[in-house]
Amino acid sequence: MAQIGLIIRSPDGTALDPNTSINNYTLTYATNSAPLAALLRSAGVPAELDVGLAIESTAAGSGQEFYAAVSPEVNGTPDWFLHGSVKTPGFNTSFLANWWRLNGQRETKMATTIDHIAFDFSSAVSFTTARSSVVGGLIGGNRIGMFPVSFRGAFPNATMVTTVSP
Amino acid sequence: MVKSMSLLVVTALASPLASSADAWPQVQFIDCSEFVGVAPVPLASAVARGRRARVGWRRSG
Repeated sequence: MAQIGLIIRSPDGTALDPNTSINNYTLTYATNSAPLAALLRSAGVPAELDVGLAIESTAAGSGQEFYAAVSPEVNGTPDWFLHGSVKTPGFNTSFLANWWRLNGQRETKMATTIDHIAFDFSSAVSFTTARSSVVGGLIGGNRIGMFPVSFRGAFPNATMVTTVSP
Repeated sequence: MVKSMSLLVVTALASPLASSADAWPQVQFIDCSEFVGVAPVPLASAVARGRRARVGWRRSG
């Protein structure tokens, strides 16, 4: 899956430690899993199917080539690409990622708990999208040459729990 | 003059398996690798885009 959002303050008082958690407002969401896209849409998340979603990197080691191509089937959802180099993660911690979406008065929360994750912070990755897209409007063009802050993560398993309130 | 900024988050997560729909609202991800990139964006622009996104969802929903 591939998603884009904006970092927000925690709406419900969870995921408060900035070193081990994050809260994001969901702008776009793409997955190559049709069931997952359908379930998330039923929960109010604008999840789109991208059958050809590609996220690849070369074998472990320093300077691995990394590439992601996101092109959902639905018109109006922005295509975007990542390309650059990443390293094998080695800093171990836990992490909680909350992604939110507001749909009228309904608030959807996707909370992903990762008990064991390894991070690396030295990726050099660029981002490209359409200048006219929602995200292009945010970044004021069609490219981020290199993210000023980035995380390369690896983890054996994670659980995402989706809740809708009220 | 320093303009107010928000932070854009871009996440690409590769996982060979997501659990079946039977487990909903829980989804399991295994053997994952991800990239998360963070970049500053103007706060006013982010707020405007967020409002438009919410309005668009209501119209289509």
